Amino acid sequence: MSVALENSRIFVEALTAKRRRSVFATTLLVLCAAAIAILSLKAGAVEISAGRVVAILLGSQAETGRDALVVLNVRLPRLLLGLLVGAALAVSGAMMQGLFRNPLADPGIVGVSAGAGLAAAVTIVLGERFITPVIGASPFLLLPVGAFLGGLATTLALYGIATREGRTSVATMLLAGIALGALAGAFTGLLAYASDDRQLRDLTFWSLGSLGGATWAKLAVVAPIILPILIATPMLARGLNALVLGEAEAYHLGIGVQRLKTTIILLVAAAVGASVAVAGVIGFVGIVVPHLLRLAIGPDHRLLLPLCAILGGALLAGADILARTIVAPAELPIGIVTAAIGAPFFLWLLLHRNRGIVS
Amino acid sequence: MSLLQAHKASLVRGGRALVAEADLAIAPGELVVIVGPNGAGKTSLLKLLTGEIPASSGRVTHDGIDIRGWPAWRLAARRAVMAQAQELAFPFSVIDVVRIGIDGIGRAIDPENANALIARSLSRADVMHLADRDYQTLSGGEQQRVQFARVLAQLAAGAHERRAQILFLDEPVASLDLCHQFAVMDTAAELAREGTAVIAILHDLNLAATYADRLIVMRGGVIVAEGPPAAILDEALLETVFDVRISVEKANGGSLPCILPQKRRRQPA
Repeated sequence: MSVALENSRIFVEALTAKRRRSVFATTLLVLCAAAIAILSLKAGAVEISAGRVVAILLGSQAETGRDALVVLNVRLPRLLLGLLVGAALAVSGAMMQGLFRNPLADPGIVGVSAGAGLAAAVTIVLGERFITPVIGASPFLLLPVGAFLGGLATTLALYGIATREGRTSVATMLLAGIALGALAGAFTGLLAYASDDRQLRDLTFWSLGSLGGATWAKLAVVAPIILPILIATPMLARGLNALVLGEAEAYHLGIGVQRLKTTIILLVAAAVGASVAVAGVIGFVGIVVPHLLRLAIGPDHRLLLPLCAILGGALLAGADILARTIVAPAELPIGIVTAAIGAPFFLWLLLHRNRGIVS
Repeated sequence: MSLLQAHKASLVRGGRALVAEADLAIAPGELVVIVGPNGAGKTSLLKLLTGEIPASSGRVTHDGIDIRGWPAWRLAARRAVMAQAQELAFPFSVIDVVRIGIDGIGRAIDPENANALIARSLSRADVMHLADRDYQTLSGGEQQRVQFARVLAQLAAGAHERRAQILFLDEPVASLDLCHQFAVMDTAAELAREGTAVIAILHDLNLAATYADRLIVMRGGVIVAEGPPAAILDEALLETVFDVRISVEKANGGSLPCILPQKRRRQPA
């Protein structure tokens, strides 16, 4: 009897500990995101105090000058874009890793980002000569559309290659993704070789990512794509949890596996395509954020997916503060900041706690 | 009335029939054990019966309806499957692994009842003391018992379908110590008495003879013998099937066949 009592104590304590850890992590992340948001609105070429930032946000009549314009029309859309893109990248990473049952999978790896990058390079280098005369829009406006279509086209090609008789082979898809990514990279390199100085600078800046061009108009384009995806993903959590046991097991557990896989692939293509379209290629968020959270709160997707959105957004908004303050008044591409901080941090994690990455 | 039926079900891969025209009917509350040498098609037959793989020809029906016509979530309330050794991609805790077992069908179960159900399954599989452990750090045998707890939880969550439930076990005792081998098979027999049909693949012929209501013997993708263990287990059959000279004694006052391998007859092909 005492053994049974002791055992049920372990059970109850494990449940309580998990609940307590979830509440603690969620609170901490929300506070952290709020702090970064305030910091992001006050820091920059013009320093504005936190109190005034809040007053401006609340629409105080006394705040109508230049600072109000800076906060409302420059920094606020930029902050919101950072939060959205960061959340989209982190959640896409977590979903891809769940789908491939591999903690190293990432939209960058299966070629979605590379495909979007190639389409963007085509727009930058060849747009002025071939596309603009036909439809009359400037290549600068075409860039986001091109990137989005490129990401989607790569994903659909990948899906077509890996699907036979209605079943998608995840292994084939991973391998084909690496091949398509390399191919897209080769063509992008070829275009860079053929471009002039100005195009090359555009290409470089875009391929390293930036939130610099954030406007309310851009936000209005991506928010309707990314927000519904972020709201929808927690509904996939049970399916992703079951998938951790394997595809056959997920089917035995009552999950419509093929539909789940199709849904994840389309959601990731849309989220990553939209992100790349407005902010360029930003690496490492999709791998580091889910991995870090798995170490902190465990791999349960019901909590992992929403927290990925919060941490991913906060992290990208934070990286953006660094990108625009380190060499102010100039700006660093944000991809350099995320890689320069993300990569050493990731290596440190691997060396110190490799429990989550290799089973 | 049979719950699960195979009508000349075949599974062909790369021109080879892994399962050839299997005819089979499973009734509620029956404990059926499949035996046979490696590569006999036991696991392939199980995959046909669970609906995991569609039959190349012939068909498998559950409650009279083609198994591939059942939506996954409805089938999940009616049958649970414990596969061979199971690895996880991410470090889930033991409680979480068992909870995943009821997540697909347990939407109607409130969290309080779900926890009670998980606790009962953990105790029944004797892994309650491992509840807070990381599944990946457990030994092979412990992992197998956690998987057993997971399928028990799934069956309990679908208990409204009790008389239509089937439990599939693919070598459920392969890594277990003697004591837990009996514990798992006792639990399976208990479930069968409560009305759940159990279909298990076993390698230990004595364990099979002890627990099976009906034995299915396979070789080369074909069901070569079928019936109560006492009726079909004889030396001639076992020697043809396993290539081992075997003597069958009667234990327990003559009611149970007891199998003693003597010596290998020839090199296996």
